[in-house]
Amino acid sequence: MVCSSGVGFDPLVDGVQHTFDVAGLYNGLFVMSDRQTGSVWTHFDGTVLTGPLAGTGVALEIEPLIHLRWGDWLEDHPDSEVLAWDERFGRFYREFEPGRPGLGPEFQRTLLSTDDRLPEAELVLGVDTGAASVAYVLGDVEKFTVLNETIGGEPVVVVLDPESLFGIAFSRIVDGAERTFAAGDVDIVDDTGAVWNLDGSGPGGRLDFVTSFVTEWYGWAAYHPDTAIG
Amino acid sequence: MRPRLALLVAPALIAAACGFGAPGGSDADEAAVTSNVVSTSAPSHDDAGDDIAATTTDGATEPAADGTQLTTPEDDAGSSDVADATTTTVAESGSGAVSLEPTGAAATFSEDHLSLGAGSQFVPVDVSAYVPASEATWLDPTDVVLGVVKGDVAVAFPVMQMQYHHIANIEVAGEPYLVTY
Repeated sequence: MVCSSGVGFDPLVDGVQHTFDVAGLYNGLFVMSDRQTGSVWTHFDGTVLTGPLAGTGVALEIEPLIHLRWGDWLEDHPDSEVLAWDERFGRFYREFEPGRPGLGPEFQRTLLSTDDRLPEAELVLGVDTGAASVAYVLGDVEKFTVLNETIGGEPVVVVLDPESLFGIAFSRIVDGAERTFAAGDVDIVDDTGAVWNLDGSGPGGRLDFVTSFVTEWYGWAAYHPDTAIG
Repeated sequence: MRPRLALLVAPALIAAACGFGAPGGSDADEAAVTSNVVSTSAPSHDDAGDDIAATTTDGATEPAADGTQLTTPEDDAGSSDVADATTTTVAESGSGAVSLEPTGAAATFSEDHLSLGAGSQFVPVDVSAYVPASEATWLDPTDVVLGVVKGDVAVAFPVMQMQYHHIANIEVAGEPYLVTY
């Protein structure tokens, strides 16, 4: 289909919460404008494309946003709350399985590039360390998988759960030392025995999040044309 | 009883946007937009009614149908001096020097590939209206959600709803958070 990319941000800019509206399309994905300045931002990396804040170096910090199936989320977070059903928009809500093919021309004409190394709608975990980008194809693994990677020289742990359409990446540096990780039951365990939840939290503190989110290949490749495939 | 909203006819209504319309966007050709040129078109999604409902985005709160207590949306900061918003990002060259060079998508921005106006009919979530998981009866175990965890607090934003809203300007555990989809 399109996008299928959930990206979370800290909306504070210079200590002030910025709020956003959908503003249009750019390079195959939607862009948003902030109500405070009217600048246009891409939600793919939180940078300002045009408008008053362009060129000021301002960018939103990406935060973990856990993309997975409700049943699994509930197992991990039985006390979770859920965004309320807003009946004003009820008729626009619908079941949505990410990764269905079909990219309309109004999206295609905004693309800077296309990359046929993978099918357009292939679901990947895109990982961006800042120095390098890698796309991990969810369909290439069969079960909950933990990979100890080095991306752009940086030690990164990549976690994938294809059945739940989940993926995330963290730095493998903890307390100044590089660790290796393995799959636990519903979490990951490092070689010191420390256990970490899939959102990076744990009794030992918090793993450093590496920009990563599940998305469709076409968008990841358009925003990261030099991306490797994991 | 559902409140009936005044119809708001936006100057530019473009059908196609993320997660919207039939695969392939067969109706989307009529809604094609190039930069700075807008056209009007009815939404082409499956359940299109005759009325194009919209709501003001001034953050007006309405009680949820189940009486869930809604938080008051925060006032926009408004008067921040954006000229001083000079939070810098380190250029990707890795030199360690702080610079105002655009990074990421901003570094390769091409105005020709920007289509403003598309998706303007999508209304973001502006109120942190949450219900306990047990009340989320519209969700099946296989439905995908976007989850935020802050300390002991966990909030799920179902893709079923976010594929429409695209944006949630909300708070989790008292901290501002921005969900985009």
